[in-house]
Amino acid sequence: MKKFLKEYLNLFAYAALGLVFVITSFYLLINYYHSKELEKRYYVSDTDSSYISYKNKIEEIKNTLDTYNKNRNKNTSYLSLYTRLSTCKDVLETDGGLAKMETNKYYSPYDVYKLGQTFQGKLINTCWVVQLSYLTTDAVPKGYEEVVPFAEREIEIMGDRVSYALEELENNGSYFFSTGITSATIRNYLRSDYIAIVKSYNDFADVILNLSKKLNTKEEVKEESTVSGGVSDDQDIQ
Amino acid sequence: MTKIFNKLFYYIKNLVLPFLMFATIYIVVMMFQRLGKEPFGANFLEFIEVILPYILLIILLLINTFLHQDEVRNNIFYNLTSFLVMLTIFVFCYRALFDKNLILWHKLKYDIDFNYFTDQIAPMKTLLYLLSAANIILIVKGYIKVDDDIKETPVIEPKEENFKPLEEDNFKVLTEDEEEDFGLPKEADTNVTLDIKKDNNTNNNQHKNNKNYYYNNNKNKKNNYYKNNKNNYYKNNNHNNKPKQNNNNQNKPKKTFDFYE
Repeated sequence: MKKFLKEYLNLFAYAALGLVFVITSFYLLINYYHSKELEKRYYVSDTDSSYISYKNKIEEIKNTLDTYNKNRNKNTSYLSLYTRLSTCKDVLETDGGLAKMETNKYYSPYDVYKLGQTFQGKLINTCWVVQLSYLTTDAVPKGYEEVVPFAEREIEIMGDRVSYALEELENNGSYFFSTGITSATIRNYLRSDYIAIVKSYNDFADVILNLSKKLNTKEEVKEESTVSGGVSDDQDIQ
Repeated sequence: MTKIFNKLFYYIKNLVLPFLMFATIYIVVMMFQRLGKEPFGANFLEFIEVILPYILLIILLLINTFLHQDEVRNNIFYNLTSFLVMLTIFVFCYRALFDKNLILWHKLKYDIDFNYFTDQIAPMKTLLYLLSAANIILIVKGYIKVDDDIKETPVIEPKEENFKPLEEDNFKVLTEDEEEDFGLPKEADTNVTLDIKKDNNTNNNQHKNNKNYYYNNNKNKKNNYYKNNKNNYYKNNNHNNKPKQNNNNQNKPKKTFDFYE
């Protein structure tokens, strides 16, 4: 009986130890693979098309605003919009954004995350919410009534896209057991999130460009429109 | 080689475990601080759920060392798996504290990725509890002693060539009735002595009354009739299959009892 019991105890002990061995080997291997996956970097070169197109759009915005500034009349209602769009143009070139990003460099997941954070914090909050959100109210200048809803919808989409990319990057601490082949064929999350964020930058620049192009149209309103919400005219110039 | 690895894993495991416990305590306390919880107050039970497996394992390791339980200490598989468990927990703590590729390490502003560590708490607990369970089972196993644990000598079938008849002076073939009477008790009185008188009118059956005579003369030699024969067999038939010289003076069996005195 004692021998019987002893052998069974042996069996249970070694079964538990075998299970522990399997679990530890699994967690060691998966953490190794996961750390290697997080060490991947995304290379941004000078010839990156999205980077170049963004810079070109900023130049175009500058040119349109300059042409308006030269040809504008004093009694135009587009003056406040012009000042707000010029601040947005400065925000597009802000530190930490795509315009001042260093090229020919490898970017880590945290660098891409910061790029997305500046998009949310500066471009959407400072430019759209603070400067241009009045366009969605009754104080919209004439000629912009048909354009603004489309711009608003596009910015909503951009915001969702970037927030999704940032949540995916925040969740990079979680892992699943994938081989090198499956991860290469299915998805490289860093690349896809970078592309999503940079596309949002370009789309936002497109919205600002379209709004600024409309300044130079011939439809000018004689009466001054009141501005509700946001910054007043006197403070815009500063 | 196994002994070296055994000792290596054993000592590393015992030294590293307290440090890992303190690392987990630090991470859990900071996590509670961020969430506004009190680890030593209202949320003490949540805190102790994480720390209890460490405490249990440390107590068992102390028991293993101070009570010299070789069943656990000299078990290479146990020491190896416990070393691997310490290694995995070290990886969890290291990555939570120092891996900057994790975004939440930066975002949460404590330089710790709490999300990653909370995902690893459950497997950590299971590993430590399973180790403790295996430890307890091995301790219990070590205290169970079975007679069959004694190593048995190999039994060699006698060959007719090597079989020699035993000397007649030192044994007598007993009948079945005499065999029953000759059964010796298992527990012997060591202090019993008898004064044996020599009777000239000896009878073949008189040894029945002198059972203890035979026993007391043989008690220290741990012999009985059959064992005596066995010893004679092994002396005359070398089980290592080496040729043996016939030295009758040396191989003469010891005189144990005389029937006819």
